[in-house]
Amino acid sequence: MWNKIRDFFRVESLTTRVRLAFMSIIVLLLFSGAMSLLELERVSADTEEILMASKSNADLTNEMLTALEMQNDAVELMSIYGDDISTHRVNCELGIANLHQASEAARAIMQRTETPMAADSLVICAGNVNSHTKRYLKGEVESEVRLISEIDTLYSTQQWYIEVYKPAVSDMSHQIKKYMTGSHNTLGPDVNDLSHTARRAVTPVFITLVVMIAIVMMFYFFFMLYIVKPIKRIDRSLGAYLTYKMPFDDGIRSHDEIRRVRDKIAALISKIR
Amino acid sequence: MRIDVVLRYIGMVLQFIAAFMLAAAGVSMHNGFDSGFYPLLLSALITAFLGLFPMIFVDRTTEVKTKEGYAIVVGSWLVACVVGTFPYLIWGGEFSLMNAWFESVSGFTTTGASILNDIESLPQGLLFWRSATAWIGGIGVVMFALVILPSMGHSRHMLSSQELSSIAKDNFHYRSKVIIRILIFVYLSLTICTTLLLKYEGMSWHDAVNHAMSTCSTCGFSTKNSSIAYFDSVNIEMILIGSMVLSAIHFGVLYATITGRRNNLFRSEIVRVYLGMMAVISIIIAISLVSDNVYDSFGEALRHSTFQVASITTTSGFATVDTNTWTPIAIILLIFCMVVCGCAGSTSGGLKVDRLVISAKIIRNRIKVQQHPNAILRVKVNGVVQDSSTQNLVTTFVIAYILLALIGTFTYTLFGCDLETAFTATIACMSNVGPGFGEVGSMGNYSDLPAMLKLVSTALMLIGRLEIFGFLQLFFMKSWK
Repeated sequence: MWNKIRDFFRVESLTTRVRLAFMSIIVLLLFSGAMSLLELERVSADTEEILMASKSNADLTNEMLTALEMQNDAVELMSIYGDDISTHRVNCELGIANLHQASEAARAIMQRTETPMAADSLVICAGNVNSHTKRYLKGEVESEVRLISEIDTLYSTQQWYIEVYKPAVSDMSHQIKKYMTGSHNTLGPDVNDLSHTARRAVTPVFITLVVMIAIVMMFYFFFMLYIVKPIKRIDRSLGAYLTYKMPFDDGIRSHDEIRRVRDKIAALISKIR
Repeated sequence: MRIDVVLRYIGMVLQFIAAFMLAAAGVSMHNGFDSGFYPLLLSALITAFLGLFPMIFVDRTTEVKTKEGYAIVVGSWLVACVVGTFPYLIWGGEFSLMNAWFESVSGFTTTGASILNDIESLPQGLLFWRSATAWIGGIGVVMFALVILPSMGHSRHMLSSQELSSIAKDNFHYRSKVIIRILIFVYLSLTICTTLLLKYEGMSWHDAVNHAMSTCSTCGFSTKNSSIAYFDSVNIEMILIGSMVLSAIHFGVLYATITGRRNNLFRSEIVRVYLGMMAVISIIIAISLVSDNVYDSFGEALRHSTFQVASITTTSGFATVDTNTWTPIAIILLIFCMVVCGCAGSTSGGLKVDRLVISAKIIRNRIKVQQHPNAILRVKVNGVVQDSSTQNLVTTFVIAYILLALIGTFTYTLFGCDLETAFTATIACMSNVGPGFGEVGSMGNYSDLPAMLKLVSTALMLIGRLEIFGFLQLFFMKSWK
């Protein structure tokens, strides 16, 4: 059984050997190339993912700041300058909705990072600002301050804006700033993965290249040993026969084409004799 | 020397290693294509490719000369260690180029020293490959390949002679072909029995197989960060002690015992010395630990001392406790165990009990000759007279071992290691034990050593595994006619 398998795979033709050797090198080259492409695609996908995440972080920051600014401007105009036009109310409602949506989205991203607790502070601050704005829109603030201070409404809402609303907005901006500057932290695990993937991309290609160098060196060695050297031997032996009439003996023991050439030369010499 | 023939045989060994990589990839596949699958499959393909190439050109040769046999064996070990790094390197993690080389050499030489700080983070497939390197190396990379390669005629004898320790061959009274079969039979049986027993004691199949492979090869690789201490089970420790001790006994003697032949376990002088030495040292260490209040009861002290003595004497290097905290007497005795190790013809490394016994008898005879100058005294082991060439070989080996230990220690100290770490790390690497004392203690590892020292350590491991002269001969190939 084993002998049959072995005979099946036995290579005795020089042409087949060289063909197989070249095919091996080509296959390994293709293999290496395919792996490079595959790995580079993986690195590219990961890099794109990180860039997208970074962009989405920037977009979210922008959305939160815009929503906060929208609310703040509207509330400021209403509470400090006494404007009470419907545009400000619409802006406030839009700001509340946008801030809520953006802060929740930011929380979802931060939950996947190494500091999920930071997400809670952001959402609490956003909720705080929103609730103040909502209370102002409902007129709860005005009735509250009137009861407490018993002074002019405009003056008391100005005081409320400065003492209550403004600090809440400051807290929220601080949290957004933290989120913005900490966005590198939120990307940390992804970046680590990327460096791991990049290394994984290079290593197999590097190993394949080293193996290919070894195979090419072996091919050179075998080519010299099984093709060049026997031809040189035949040449030397034939030269010795033609010049000095020395017996034609090159000591070749292979069973390939070179052996057949050698046998034919030997037969020719014996015929000439 | 026919380099083409050497390359063909090394290629065969590579294909054999590729088959193991493929098996490890199978484990990864079974584990839901874990992160080890891709590196293992890729490594298997590359290794098989590299191994197959010489076969395109080189025809089968049954006659291998001594020098060629030697080149095949040493070349196979080195190339096996090189391709063994592929899965680690591709996987990444803690494996830099030097770390991967260290882990691969440590596995194939069955040293069991590690650079990994978090073994449990490795995927199952890679852990299996890690244990497989130890299992292949346990009996010899070439020896394994010889079993699966049919009709190799004289070359089989030549290759097995090069890989087997010279004193190990004495206890086998068979032809090379039979010796190889006996070795594999005993090795496989031990591994299967250990796996089943560990599984019975509650280990998962993955842990049981990995620990069995690691135990029977006397390597000491564990799948857990805290080694055997993780399981905290007396039964598991007892099973491992039994397997380790048996794996460090001459496989020919084990085979003779199983088949009921004369040269069995109970008649072997070497085995008596080996077991007696372990028992005495375990008891002395236990007494020392109890008297120094390291442990409260003698039973607990004996449990840990027996496990550590068995682990170190057999060159396994498993750990249940941190031996760095033990008494100086215990440490000195454990260092003695690290030097002597198991019996020849087993998977253990080191000086070997056989050489210790012969050396002791040579010294005894020397003293007697001084007292009785005309006396003709012979050195006998198991009733067999050891000729002068064997005695010379043993003496030379012991001298070479001591010299290399000194050179190794010196090198370690050059890189800033303390004397305890330097000396024990050198001995632990040369004897293929794994853990030493100090920075490289039983609960520590080699990760903090500088890259150059890791390289030196791997060289020591290879020197120890190839019985010193096997490796050193490599540098004198040109003068070998």
